[in-house]
Amino acid sequence: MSLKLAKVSYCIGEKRLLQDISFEVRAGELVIILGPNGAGKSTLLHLAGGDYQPDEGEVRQFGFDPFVLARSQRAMRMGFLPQGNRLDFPYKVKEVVRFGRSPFMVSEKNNKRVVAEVLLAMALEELAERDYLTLSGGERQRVQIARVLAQIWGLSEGTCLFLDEPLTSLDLAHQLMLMRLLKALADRGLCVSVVLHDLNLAMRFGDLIALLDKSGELAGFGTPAEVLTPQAIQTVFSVRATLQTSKTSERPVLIFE
Amino acid sequence: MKSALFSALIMLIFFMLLALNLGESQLSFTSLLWQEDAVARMIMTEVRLPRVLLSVLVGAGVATSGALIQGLFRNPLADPALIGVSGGAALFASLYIVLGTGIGFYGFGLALSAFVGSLLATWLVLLIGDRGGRISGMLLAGIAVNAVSLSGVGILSLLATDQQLRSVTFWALGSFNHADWQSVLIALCMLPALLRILFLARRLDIMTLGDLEAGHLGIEVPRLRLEAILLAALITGIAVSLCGVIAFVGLIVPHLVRMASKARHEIVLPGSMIVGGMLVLLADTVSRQLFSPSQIPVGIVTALIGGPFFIYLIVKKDSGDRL
Repeated sequence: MSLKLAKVSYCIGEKRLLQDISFEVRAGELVIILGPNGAGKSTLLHLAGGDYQPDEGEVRQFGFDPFVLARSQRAMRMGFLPQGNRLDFPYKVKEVVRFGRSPFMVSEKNNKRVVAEVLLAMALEELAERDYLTLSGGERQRVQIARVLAQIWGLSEGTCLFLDEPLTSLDLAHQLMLMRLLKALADRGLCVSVVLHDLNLAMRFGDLIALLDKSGELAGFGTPAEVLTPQAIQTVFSVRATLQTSKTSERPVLIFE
Repeated sequence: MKSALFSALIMLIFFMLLALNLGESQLSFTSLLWQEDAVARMIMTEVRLPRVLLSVLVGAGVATSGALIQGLFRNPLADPALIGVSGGAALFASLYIVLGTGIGFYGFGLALSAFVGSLLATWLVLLIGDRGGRISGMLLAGIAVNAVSLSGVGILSLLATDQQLRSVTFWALGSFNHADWQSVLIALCMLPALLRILFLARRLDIMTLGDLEAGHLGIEVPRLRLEAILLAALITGIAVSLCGVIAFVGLIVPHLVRMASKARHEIVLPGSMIVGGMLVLLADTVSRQLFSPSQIPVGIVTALIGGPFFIYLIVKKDSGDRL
């Protein structure tokens, strides 16, 4: 049981954005997608989520093709945070988070409980009654994450969660809080895929790393120790890096020159 | 929130009764109930009552479809007139008046023609706007479609006879001078569409998050968008065929309701319906009272109030990048 991409390619017009991508993420694993700007990280996430149809190859979420699945069905087994917030209406924070519950026909009491739990998990309980439009960029980002979490809250195996650069505008404390939360969700049996730019957070929290290079090919897939080598970082990002052992974590830390 | 809606409804009824009392001749709406004399009763039932009903219905329709379009395009500044829908309807209404008066009978044929025009304009704007992929692209497309429509109306008015010209001018400015029971009947055709819009409230809330996000939350976005656009085109088409282009109501009313209630669409849609009816009724009452016995077209009144308010909205939205 897994999220599986097999020989996936995707083009826009003549331009090939992604080339022959294959990997598999099992339930309970947190995969972090890394790569330089324009490598196709977001496109890969949208393909895996079923927003786009691959030109070649196939995508399977626990046996289903997410592109073909009815939207109402997909919404009950997948959460997705795209990049950028477009919401421009004066809803209360708790209302925005409540929108994440809309795919489910459950009691309002149940929904209220989930919204309260998610607000707490994202440290938003004090903002619950605030007008979304009065929030700062980082706060809005946290509300949007909370909305997506409300959708998959309580679901376990067979559920996929996709987040495209969720750490954008978050301060250090909230970045770490979110990464720990994602790890906990993966431990609950979810299949979690996250696009990040911070290689050290990827090193520390990722079960798996998918590294894309500029040409849209998979330059590496495996555990952080296997993929995030100084040679790979030199090849993909053109940055020299060295590994140092960390005093607080068993995983090493990358130092960039 | 529900009680605020209820008080707004009471206010609307109060203003309707008030509007029935106002006019060239001193009459009270009580003459509807017990007959004083035949002429008075005639003025009430054949002139004032249909006019009051029509302005309320049209205001409710235009404001609600404005709220619908704003939710659909995630832009609090969108409006059927702004995105070219009303222009298309006015063009096709003029086409019908100038070239096709022989076809069918006036009222329904005209409404149908205006509907086709609004549909065509919406489709064009979507087609061009989607290509740009952004909301600003759609608004620009709306401006272009509006400009082309208005020049079309201009050409038609050159071809028109004097009688036709008067009718065309009337559509360009918007007025309830021709209100009668037949137009009220046609306006009632908006009701099923209005009711249907109320049922879209929850999905419209989700749509404001973004198209992708709405898809992730289980909404078949292309289908919902098609349905909403058909509903807005139907209502705008009917409204424009009955009284021309009533500017800015679809833009301002939902905005006022949103500012006052900060609410979701389950409140904003019925709220816009009531407040829209009220505002157009008031504007029409002002337009026929101000320089009585001569009347200024109500579209001029709403544009005079709406234009400055629109500028205020744009200035207030400090982050100009969103439009």
